[in-house]
Amino acid sequence: MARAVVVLAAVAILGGCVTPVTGAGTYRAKALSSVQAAISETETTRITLQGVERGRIFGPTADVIVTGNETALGSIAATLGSVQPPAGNDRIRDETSQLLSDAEDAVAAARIAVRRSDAAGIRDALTEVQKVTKQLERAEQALVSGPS
Amino acid sequence: MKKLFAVALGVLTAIGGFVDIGDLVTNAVVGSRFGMSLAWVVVVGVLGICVFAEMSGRVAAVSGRATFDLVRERLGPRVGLANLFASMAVTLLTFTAEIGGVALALELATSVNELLWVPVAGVAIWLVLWRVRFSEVENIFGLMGLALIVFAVAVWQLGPDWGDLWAQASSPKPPAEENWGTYSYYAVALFGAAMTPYEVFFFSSGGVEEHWKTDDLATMRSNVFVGFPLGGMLSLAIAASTTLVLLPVGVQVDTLGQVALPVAVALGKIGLAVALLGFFAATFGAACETGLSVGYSLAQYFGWQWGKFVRPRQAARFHLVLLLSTILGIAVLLTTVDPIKVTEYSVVFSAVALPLTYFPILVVANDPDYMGEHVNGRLANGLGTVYLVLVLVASMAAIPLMLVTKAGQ
Amino acid sequence: MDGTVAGRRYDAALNLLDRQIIDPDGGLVANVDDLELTERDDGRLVVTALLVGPGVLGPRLGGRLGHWTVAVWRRLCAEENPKPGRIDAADISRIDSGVHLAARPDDRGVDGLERWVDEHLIGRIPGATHEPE
Repeated sequence: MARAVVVLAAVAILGGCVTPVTGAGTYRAKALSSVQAAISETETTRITLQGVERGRIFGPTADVIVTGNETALGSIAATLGSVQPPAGNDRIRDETSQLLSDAEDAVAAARIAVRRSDAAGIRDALTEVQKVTKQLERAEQALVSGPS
Repeated sequence: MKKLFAVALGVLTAIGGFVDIGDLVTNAVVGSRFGMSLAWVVVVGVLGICVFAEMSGRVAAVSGRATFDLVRERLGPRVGLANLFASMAVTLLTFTAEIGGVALALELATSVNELLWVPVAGVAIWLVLWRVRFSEVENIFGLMGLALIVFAVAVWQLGPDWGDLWAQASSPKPPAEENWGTYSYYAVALFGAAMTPYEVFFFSSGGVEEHWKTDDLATMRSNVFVGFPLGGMLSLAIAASTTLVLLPVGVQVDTLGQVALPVAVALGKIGLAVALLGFFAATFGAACETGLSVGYSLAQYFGWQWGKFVRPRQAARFHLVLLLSTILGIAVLLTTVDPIKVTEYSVVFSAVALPLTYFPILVVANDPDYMGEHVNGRLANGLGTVYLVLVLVASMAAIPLMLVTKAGQ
Repeated sequence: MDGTVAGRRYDAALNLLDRQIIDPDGGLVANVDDLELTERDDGRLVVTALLVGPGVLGPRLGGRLGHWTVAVWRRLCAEENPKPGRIDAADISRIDSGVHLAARPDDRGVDGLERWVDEHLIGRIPGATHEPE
């Protein structure tokens, strides 16, 4: 009995690590959750950048938050990239991967500007991040509403 | 006058010391994903901890012995060992999470990488456990923890629609983007975060450290029945702050920085600084408490001399356990595991261990040999039994929910 | 099972086993892990000593865990046939919620580990003799 519990627990923990090959519906769901996770990161960056602009957040704290966002976006993109797309999903894969890469670039620019305390750079990065968030939200809508 | 001061100090340190890294993270995550729809779990959890903390504090004051001490006597070495094993495992995990929390708080303040802070935090915690007086540790970190009131101030400043918040709190169901699986999983996690097992050992061992007697019962009760609920309100304030700032824009909390963001948005740099101080105090204080609890439980099972009320040389094995636990905690964190992940696992496993740790307290508090006329009355037993059922349900549901929802995704 | 101590009768299982042993200064020594029983001439069993240590706790834990505990303890002990820590029943001064002793135990089996850790590890760290209050 105890052994069964240990095995189940091991399966559970390992199950979180492996990304399985999935059917079309589930791939779409995976892309959707990647996009939503990305929005969580870019919106955090936006709030942080606006905070820095208005003098409401310390430089070091903003640095830690935005660097964290950048790292997280990298791993979201890598996770999606490692999943084998079933046939017919290549367009979703390409578009989503592109978006995630753009998001990572925008947040990287934000990180650089924050570390340099570069006010102009922060303003530009903010615009970029807001733009990419809009694109991510549109992609989210498209993935939710069904095959196109 | 001196008595009033002691009571006030006790209540204030209870409020400030209530929140630990598990409460910080879990309440922030829940607020950002579920709004206030899980607020009822915090209320239920806080009442539960009040009931059992009062019992274990009473045991310490009346019998002069800590609760865990009496578990082996009352229930035998086998049950005592099972209890010990479960409690120590979970408390060690929580201790590791708290050290990680200290490192994360320091990282947020300085932008120096968390991994560099881990050994510093670990050594600092051990030094405090080695040299600083017990009551000083409790008072200093308890009062500093009051800084977390800044979350309540931030919520106020954000000028929320109170009616809307109340509507969310009074309709206990998952919002559109979540499902009953994740809702139940986070209910269990929140319950585990509010009713952490170490809290009760620590409270009764601490009572022995501070030489409580029957005259201290009233003070102890005011700490519990005023301090803990107010501390619980801080948990709700943390959840409300992320509900107001992060939920509407789709941010899901998974870092300590995001927990602090709402305060920065509402109150600017001053608020942020106070929040970071609060994070540091809450995690450092809880790290001291969990570290000591690991030592208390092991020493009390074997009957070794324990406690900070004797010279370290007189409680050598106890202090060795503290030292080894700290080294283990540092080692685990240096494997670069995310401290937030460690925290999430620690609250879920706390929920799993709850029945094993709470059941013996109920038994001991009912024993007239130790308690004399202060045995549990009908109210304490009634509530105690209800909560025993609740913790059993939470404990059995915890692992299956974790498997099914893949730890909340 | 009962035992007699200083003229009063106690239920040994209830009042002695797993109890905290306290030395004359109020310091905590160990928990009673087992009891040494001796058969008297009239056939009655009397508690003649308190026993302490993994060697006697192991069998009370039972099962594989118990066997393993005893085996490890045997390995770690220096002597060929190690004896468990023993406190003579005559040294017990009174019994309330704990078992109070009239004299500090001198059997290395009782507090050997504490002495060793104190001498070799904890005692060497600066501040180990720091007064607590």
